[in-house]
Amino acid sequence: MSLYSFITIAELQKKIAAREITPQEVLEFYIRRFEVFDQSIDSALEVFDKESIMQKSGNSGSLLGIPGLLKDNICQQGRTLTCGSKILEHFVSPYDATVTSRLKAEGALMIGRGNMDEFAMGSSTETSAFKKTKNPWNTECVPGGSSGGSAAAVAAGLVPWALGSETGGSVRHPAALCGIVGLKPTYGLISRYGLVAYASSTDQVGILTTTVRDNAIILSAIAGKDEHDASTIQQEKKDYTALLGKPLKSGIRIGIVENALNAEGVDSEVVAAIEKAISVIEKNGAQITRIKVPTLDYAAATYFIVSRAEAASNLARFDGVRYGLRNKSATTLSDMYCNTRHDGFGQEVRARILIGNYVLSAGHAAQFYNNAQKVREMMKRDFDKLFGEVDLLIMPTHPAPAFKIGAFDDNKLQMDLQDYFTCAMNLVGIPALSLPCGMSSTNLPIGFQIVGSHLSEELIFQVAHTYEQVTEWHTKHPEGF
Amino acid sequence: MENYSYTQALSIRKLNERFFMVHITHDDVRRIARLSHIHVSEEETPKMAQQLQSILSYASRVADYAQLYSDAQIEVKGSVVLRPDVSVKTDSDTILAAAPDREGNYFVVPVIVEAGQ
Repeated sequence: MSLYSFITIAELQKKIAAREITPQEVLEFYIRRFEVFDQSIDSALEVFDKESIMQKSGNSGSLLGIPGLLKDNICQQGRTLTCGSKILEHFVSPYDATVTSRLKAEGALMIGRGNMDEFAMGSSTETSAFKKTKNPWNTECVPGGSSGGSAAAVAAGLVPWALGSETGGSVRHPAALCGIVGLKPTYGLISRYGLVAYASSTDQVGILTTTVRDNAIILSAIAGKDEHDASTIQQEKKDYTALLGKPLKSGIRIGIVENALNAEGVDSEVVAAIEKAISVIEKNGAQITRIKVPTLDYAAATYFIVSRAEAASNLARFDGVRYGLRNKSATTLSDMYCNTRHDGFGQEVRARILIGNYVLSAGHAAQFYNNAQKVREMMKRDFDKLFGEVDLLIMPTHPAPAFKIGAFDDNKLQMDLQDYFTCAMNLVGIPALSLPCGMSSTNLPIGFQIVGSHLSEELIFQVAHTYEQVTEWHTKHPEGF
Repeated sequence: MENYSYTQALSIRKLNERFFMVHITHDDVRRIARLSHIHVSEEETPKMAQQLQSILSYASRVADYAQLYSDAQIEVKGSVVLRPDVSVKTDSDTILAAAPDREGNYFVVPVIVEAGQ
């Protein structure tokens, strides 16, 4: 069992191609790992049966026999799709998301559904209506969120890859807290067709793996123009591993975002680990400059407004009429809407919808939504200018290592501010990768972000891979798995 | 474009933090809950008001930063992307299979308008 426990996709591809192991045997191995280990971390809402997994997938392709977990807001045809919510508890998806069908076409095996914060609203996977996922490094702590199930499963070696979704940091944040690699792609690079909408102007599918190369392999399979999603970029399929291992271009300029690294509330061990990572990257050929990005300080406030406003609109479709939960005791249509949405949505989802409608309502829209749109535009221009002066940015992903389950039950603002360092990239639409750079004195992972300009994933991967290959964080795994 | 400095932005925010707080009353919660078509019980209202107040007070700082730029300087541009104007048919049974209540090809819902209204 242990030979394959934390095997990478790249290694697994070689073993399957060399017929050392069959796709069926690989699948049996990982299903067994879920049976044995998932009771301690609760990463999956469901693990499917072997027969239907094999039957639903293609027989050839670059990912033949490689199983992965999909966050439960990504449609898989014929499978339950809950988004972590009671309002969709028994809903069965009638179609595959584009990312699902592209992965199946490459022979990948969809092993199950990953737990998540309800409708991706949260930073700890605690708002899931069904279960709370635990961090494999310390099961009293959260895995981060909202893609916590996907991240925990990869960190515990229960699958070599998983998909999550990003709206304000929901792939990078759990990646950092679980000690793995998490990508938020350029907005429009990966199709949102079949990704349940939260905030449509920032939503993107994200990728979780234990290594940078594995992340690039999955991106290569799913990125590219999609006829079903008008917001996708005119980008043909390409091999995102092409630059890995090649020397960095001479004098590559990397900006360290000082007002992020030295922000109030960032744990001193996080700062120390990131400073070490910066000096490693500098030794490997990068030209480091320290910069300030003032609009970054307003990213969270802007994100709170824009995302909740869009969520209020996107979640209006859950009304008990055509699918999902319906409150059957209501006698009028209006009561049916109001009671269904009360019974079906948890506290956090209801609060965010109310906030969203507040910031859009007459008398408040100018102060909140219109101003947020202006600041967002200013942020885009600031980043455009910045990437004329540097090639990449480095900054924290998260303020502190994983917190205890329940720590922010009475402090929603502090929970929401977990998005502080990640949400700017979602607002601006630029790519960012979180990868591990250390461990805290309490044996919890520390991560940092490499941020690039529009469609700079290859460069981000190249620098991240260079760092990864001269450090050992990607080889560290939680005990007991 | 740069007619502000980092220190200027920071000082405006610190100033406003002392004077500007969003107040959310229980009536506000009831009104927004009606707009949102979400029932919030009387027991749930105080906690909801507190959460809304906390988040909105923090978020209100966007006004500080936006005021550094006059309207003339900021144009929020959108772009329209259209798909081909072709109708796509989906099998109605597939869609109706998820219906909480159906009759033939209809979704059944409670009464919308009473007779005589």
